[in-house]
Amino acid sequence: MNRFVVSDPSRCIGCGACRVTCSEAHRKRALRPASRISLVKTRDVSAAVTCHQCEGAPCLSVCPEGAIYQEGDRLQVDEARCTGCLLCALVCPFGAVYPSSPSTAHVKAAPYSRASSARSAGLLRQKETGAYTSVVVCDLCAKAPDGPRCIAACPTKALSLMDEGALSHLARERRIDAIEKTNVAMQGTAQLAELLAAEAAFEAADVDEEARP
Amino acid sequence: MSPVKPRVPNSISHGQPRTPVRSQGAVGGSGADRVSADQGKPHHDFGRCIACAACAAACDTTAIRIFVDEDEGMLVWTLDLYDCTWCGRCAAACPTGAMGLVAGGAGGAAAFADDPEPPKRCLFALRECASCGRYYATNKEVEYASSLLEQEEGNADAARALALTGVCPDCKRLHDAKAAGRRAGMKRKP
Repeated sequence: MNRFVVSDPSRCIGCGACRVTCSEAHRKRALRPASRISLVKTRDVSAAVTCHQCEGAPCLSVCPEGAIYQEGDRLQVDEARCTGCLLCALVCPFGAVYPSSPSTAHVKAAPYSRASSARSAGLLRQKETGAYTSVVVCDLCAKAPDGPRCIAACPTKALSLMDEGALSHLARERRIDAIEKTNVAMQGTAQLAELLAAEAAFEAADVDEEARP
Repeated sequence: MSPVKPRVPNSISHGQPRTPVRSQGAVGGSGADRVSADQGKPHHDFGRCIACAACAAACDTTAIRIFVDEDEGMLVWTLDLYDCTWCGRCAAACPTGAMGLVAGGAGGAAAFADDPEPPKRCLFALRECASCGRYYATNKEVEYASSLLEQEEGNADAARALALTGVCPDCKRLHDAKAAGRRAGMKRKP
């Protein structure tokens, strides 16, 4: 099973520490500085969206240059081979592929004012600017000595690494949850049965009293 | 349209027979003698181009540029040979083989300065996101990506990606966050 970073929206406060750390950790190791994790903040939910490290990764399978590859249980981008066609960003089911420029790049200035606005999605706006040369995906901080930096940086512990152990732990928790729910339901029926029995006894007593002269 | 350039065999699609290698000039039409040189005058084949903008990102002199015309719902691809240095990076970056290089002919690179060729403009219809309604890619690019995913038979992740190609990446992120929110809502409160 591939490991990947999961976020818990009930803990996420949307501070963006994971994005900053992701960008900085990769920049320090001479990789593209774009953040591999993004934040979604709506009225109801704030959550970090991460690469799910799909087993049959669609980004990998559409790449025309073979620039994305699986190394062990994580995806990697060969930044020298990537041409920036962004087919991977288009097909990713979670929108977790990001175009990035090298940290030292000059930005190609747009000669005219950009025409695109909120009517275009972010991907199209980035294409128009053209300030990227490669894509980045979450590599679980392959070059960092002690695991994904975003998990260490999260102040509310909303991020965690999902692997075999964590998955079985989650499954166990869910089973316990289900058992408890069933217990509550069964207790409910037991109490209802008691109530019904008591009521029946009370009515019977009433009937007895009425029958008495 | 069908993908013309074979992808590099990878661990998921290991070397199954693909469509033949980028043919030189035969399918491209327009009769130009396209060569597989490293440098040369760029030749653009509208039929194969999906407007992925890899050439525009690769072009250092911004001879190839991308504009978005939101009022018309069109993406405008332009090539101005006046700015072009014949470096050939656009052809190397092109994922579909739409950018080719034409042999230099007499005079080679010096000839282009006197060549009063007008800038080429190509229009591509944009696709609206099925979820938010914003433009996110060209129709041709989405179809090309879908046809690549369709070749991945028996790959559940590719099938899921195929079902979602009509949605922009921003909305996919939003949907993923909402799904995570629902999962967290199911969790037992301590």
